[in-house]
Amino acid sequence: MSDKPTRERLGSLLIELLEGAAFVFAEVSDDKPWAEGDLLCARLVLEHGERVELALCVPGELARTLAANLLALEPESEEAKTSAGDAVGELANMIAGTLAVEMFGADVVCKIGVPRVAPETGVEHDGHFGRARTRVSLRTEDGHRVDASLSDVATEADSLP
Amino acid sequence: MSYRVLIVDDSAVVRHMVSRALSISGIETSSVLEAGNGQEALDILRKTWVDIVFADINMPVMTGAELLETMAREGMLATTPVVIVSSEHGEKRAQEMKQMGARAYLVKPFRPEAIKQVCGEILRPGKETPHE
Repeated sequence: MSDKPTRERLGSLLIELLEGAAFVFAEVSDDKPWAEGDLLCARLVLEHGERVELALCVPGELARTLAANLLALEPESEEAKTSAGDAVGELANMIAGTLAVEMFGADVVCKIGVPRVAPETGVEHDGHFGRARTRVSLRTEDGHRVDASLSDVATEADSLP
Repeated sequence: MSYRVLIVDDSAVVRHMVSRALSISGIETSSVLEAGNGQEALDILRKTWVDIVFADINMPVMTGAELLETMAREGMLATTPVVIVSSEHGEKRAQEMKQMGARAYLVKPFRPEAIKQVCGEILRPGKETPHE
């Protein structure tokens, strides 16, 4: 069994990563329902005996800022727009790399899936987020919300009679 | 001296980050080639001399581990240094990659200084054959 990260740990990890890799400053906030808007969500599965899905969701505008900061571009640039999903996926990948060690240990090789990034509506996201085992919301200094969550995913063994 | 570098990652953002880190760290490059997975990297390596490869592990089509295995089996490619650039922090994974032939293991996110140090260790003058 893995060591389950707490909401506080997931939040602090996300804050450190946003700050260190993308120069975006944020703090933990209340997870009220999303207002409608375009969200980009990256989802990937960590697997070592059990399967856990990590989700990272941000508004489209913030995704473009993240891409711009990672690539040292202007947020309005075409490349920042086209790289927005890639940037969110890569940040999810970086969180997963740290979580895998904290959950399963440094002496095992945990399988980390390739991030799937897709737009979601606020309603769709709230449905997933509300059911997550561990979830945390951040608010950036520009007022953007960032959500991260961990959900248990059934393994093939779970479905055996 | 300038080097021909190949960056292998399915994320264009990471390829750009590695390329930028190389530039910031003062590593002179004659060209920076890019591949989206291990297979694309092999296609380039079989046609073009490359001084150093930076490769991710988790990629579609062909992973970084499969790329290392294939390079080790192909005489000319076996000596091309590969640096793994991954978000995976586990010590066991790093050891596994080094046993498969990786010369160094960098964890994302990384600072340009880390790239500079790795390149300094691997591409010391006289150790490889750089392109003038």
